[in-house]
Amino acid sequence: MSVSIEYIPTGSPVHRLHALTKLLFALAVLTISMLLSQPLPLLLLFFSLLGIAALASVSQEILSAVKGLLKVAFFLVLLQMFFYPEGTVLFAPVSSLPGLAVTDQGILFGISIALRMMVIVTSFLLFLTTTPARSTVLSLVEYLKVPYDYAFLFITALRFIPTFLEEVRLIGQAQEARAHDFSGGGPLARLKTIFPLALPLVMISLQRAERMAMAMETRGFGLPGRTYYRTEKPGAVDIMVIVALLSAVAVAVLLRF
Amino acid sequence: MPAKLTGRPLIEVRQLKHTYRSGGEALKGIDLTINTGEMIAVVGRNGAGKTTLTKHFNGLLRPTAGTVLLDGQDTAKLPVAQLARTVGYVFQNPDHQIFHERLFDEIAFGPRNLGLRGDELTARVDSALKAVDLTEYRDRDPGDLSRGQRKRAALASVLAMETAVIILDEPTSGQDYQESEQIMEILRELNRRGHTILFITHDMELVQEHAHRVLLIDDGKLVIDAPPQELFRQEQALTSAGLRLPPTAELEQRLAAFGIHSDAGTVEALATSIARRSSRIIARDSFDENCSGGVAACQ
Amino acid sequence: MLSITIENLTFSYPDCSSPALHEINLTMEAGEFIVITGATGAGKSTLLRSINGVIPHFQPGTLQGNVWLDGATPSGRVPVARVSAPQLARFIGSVFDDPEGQIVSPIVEEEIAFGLENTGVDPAQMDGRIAKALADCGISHLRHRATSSLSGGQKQRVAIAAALALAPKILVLDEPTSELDPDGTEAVLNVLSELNKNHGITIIIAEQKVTLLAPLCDRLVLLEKGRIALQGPPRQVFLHPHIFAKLGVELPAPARLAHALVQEGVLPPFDSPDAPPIPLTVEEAFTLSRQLL
Ligand SMILES: Nc1ncnc2c1ncn2[C@@H]1O[C@H](COP(=O)(O)OP(=O)(O)OP(=O)(O)O)[C@@H](O)[C@H]1O
Ligand SMILES: Nc1ncnc2c1ncn2[C@@H]1O[C@H](COP(=O)(O)OP(=O)(O)OP(=O)(O)O)[C@@H](O)[C@H]1O
Ligand SMILES: [Mg+2]
Ligand SMILES: [Mg+2]
Repeated sequence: MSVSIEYIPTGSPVHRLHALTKLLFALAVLTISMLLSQPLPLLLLFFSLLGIAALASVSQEILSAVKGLLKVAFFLVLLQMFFYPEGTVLFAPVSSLPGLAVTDQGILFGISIALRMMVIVTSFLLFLTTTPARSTVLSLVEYLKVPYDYAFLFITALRFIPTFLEEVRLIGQAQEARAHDFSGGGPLARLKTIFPLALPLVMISLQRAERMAMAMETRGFGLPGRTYYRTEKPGAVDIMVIVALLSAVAVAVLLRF
Repeated sequence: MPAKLTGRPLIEVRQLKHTYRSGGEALKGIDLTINTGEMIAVVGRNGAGKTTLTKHFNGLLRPTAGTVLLDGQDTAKLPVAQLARTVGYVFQNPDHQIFHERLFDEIAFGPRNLGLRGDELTARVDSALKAVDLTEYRDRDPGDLSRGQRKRAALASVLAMETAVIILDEPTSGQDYQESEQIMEILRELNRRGHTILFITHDMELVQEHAHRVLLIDDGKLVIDAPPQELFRQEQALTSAGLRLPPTAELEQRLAAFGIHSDAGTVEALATSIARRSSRIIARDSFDENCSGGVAACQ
Repeated sequence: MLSITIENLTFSYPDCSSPALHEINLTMEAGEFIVITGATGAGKSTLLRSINGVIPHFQPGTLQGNVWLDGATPSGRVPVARVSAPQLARFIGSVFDDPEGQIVSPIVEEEIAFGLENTGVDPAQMDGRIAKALADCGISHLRHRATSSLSGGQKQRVAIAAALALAPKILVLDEPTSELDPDGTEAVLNVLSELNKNHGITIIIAEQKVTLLAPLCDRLVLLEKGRIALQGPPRQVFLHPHIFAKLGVELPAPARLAHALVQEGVLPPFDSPDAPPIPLTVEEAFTLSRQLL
């Protein structure tokens, strides 16, 4: 499974929105999905996210992530199906254990949970693939008053996931190129074969953390009086989208209560 | 000993294209045949596609389009660990492979994977260590070496596998002159023993001295495939691909107009030729009036 | 005016029996262009690290002696060890020998902007400075690329551009062109020379490519196992081919040709009064040879 959480610069209308707008969007989708409990509206919400992904020209990445998520979703449905007590019993695999009965509501509930999970993850993936890390840092600092150092470190940690994955790939390559076979044998053997990947990875990551601190400080990180290269202001479209988002959340709340 | 290979071309590249997911098209259709026993330099500007090309030869990268055949077999269909028995690959960045706490074990990693044990293993590792001048660091932590030393450690770990084909991505970058020469000498020795060697480099001096054939890559395409002397004659193509004549070759070319030739391609040979010429001129004036065609005509 | 004085500097890495630098004494004046060279493991990186503050701020080990920074504060000279790393960044820009480990931003232009932001440069100036630094390193076309997707040499150019953009008083560069193509090497070295000549920026560079640097630099320092084996202006240093041979460092081809011509008996020995100066460039070597014909 390859989940891309890297910023993909496609220059779409979605990319041009302010980071804050997109962050609010992800949070709004989160809230709404929590308020919705029926599969159908959740499904609608999910498909509209895919629509937005298409608009942002990141469908390929989102869909490959969704494929991976489906496995998790399937597991969630199974789990909920067997342990949901209410509703009409459809069938009971072990008749002496009524708790294990599969009910119609159980299935629906399981599907809802799974869909909700997919909706939430997808909306954050959309956020990450369409927003440069730097814009996120800036809006956190500027509008949400998070201290710069923390915001930067947080986002740097996030941004290192793709670099980390790239590193995993390269180290794997380097060891395979020395005839190391990663696919060997039973579970115990498997565990052993992973060492040549895991060890350099841990070492590189530790070194990397040290060198990062060094690279940052020797370029003045932590000096007072920091300035910002490009600060973006929310535009008219952003305001409109934010208003729409807030209304959607309000409607969802009203419908629920 | 290199593995016995059939009469087929060793590596056959047909219409190879490679596109990175988050980048442009790095290779734009390359056709190429490499035979057993060649010693090839791959040159080209930064970002030309050298690393991308050579990583296809042992399956580290899979073609987006086209095929790469190793000894007749499609590399895309074989696991890298198996290809590695035939093709050794030394990476541009040494830190991607070093993970042992003792240099000896780092070098022994590859040969162990090939099934070597005991005295044979020790002998292999020690001779590789000696070849790259790191014997005194045998039991040290490779993480504590200087960058140039780490690069040589990475090199040794592949040399120790003695694969039929050895590919080296900038093996001499960051090495001093003596180490560079020594590394190239090892590669030539391996080549004499039948190994096929491919090295990526920006050092035209090394190309001139050590390669039998040069592949000039530019913008994802194979622009020139020729012996070094021929490449250096096409100065235009060379400079437009971001490269330069090595100083010795440049001197040689500029002095050629004055009848100075260096048969060995070294400055010492140039000096000899200059010396001969400058004394001949005086000599000719005094006793050889028929000879006006330069040194060669005066033999 | 910012100068550096190294006094009796000895440094050992942890758990190492022999020191990596041994009793180094060296003064680097403001506006000098200094090349440090020597075999691998000779201590070039260690010397640069003790100038840019990596030693002792990040690299543990035992340090004796001092590296003084003169002119950074009104109160006279201060040891580098007493100035915090971010403060040092106001005066000294660094390029490390491992460009990959140096890059901290996901996008190329952000990487260049990073240091400018930290040191409080006016945002209105940033676009121009970023564009200039990228152009100087020949990577304007990579401005919006992801740093993780660059080739080895492209990453190295980004690291150099990031240091150039900061326009520090002193630039400390550790083998910055090791993975650059000849074109890029020439471009980068010319930019360094231009910064040095026209803006008085001190350049301290560790390199193997002495041939290219000799015509540009004021002083060459040859290290041998942690000690200074030879130093001086290139034309003087090149008078000692045997030391180069002993250290395993290549004497540039123009100088080698000149020595070979002396061997052949067509040039007077370089220590004689009527000897011509040792050629540094191909052009000079060519002119010298022509005069003999
Ligand atoms: N992992 C990657 N993702 C996306 N693009 C890449 C990746 N690796 C390389 N590229 C791009 O592909 C092109 C060819 O890169 P490659 O590494 O093959 O160049 P190279 O000739 O080895 O250059 P160098 O001399 O700088 O090492 C470059 O434009 C580079 O930016
Ligand atoms: N982190 C470290 N820990 C222990 N020893 C080290 C460390 N880094 C370097 N050394 C040792 O210190 C000596 C000097 O290393 P240094 O990196 O300064 O050499 P260098 O001249 O820069 O070499 P290169 O040309 O390979 O970069 C070497 O013998 C090296 O093995
Ligand atoms: Mg490369
Ligand atoms: Mg070094």
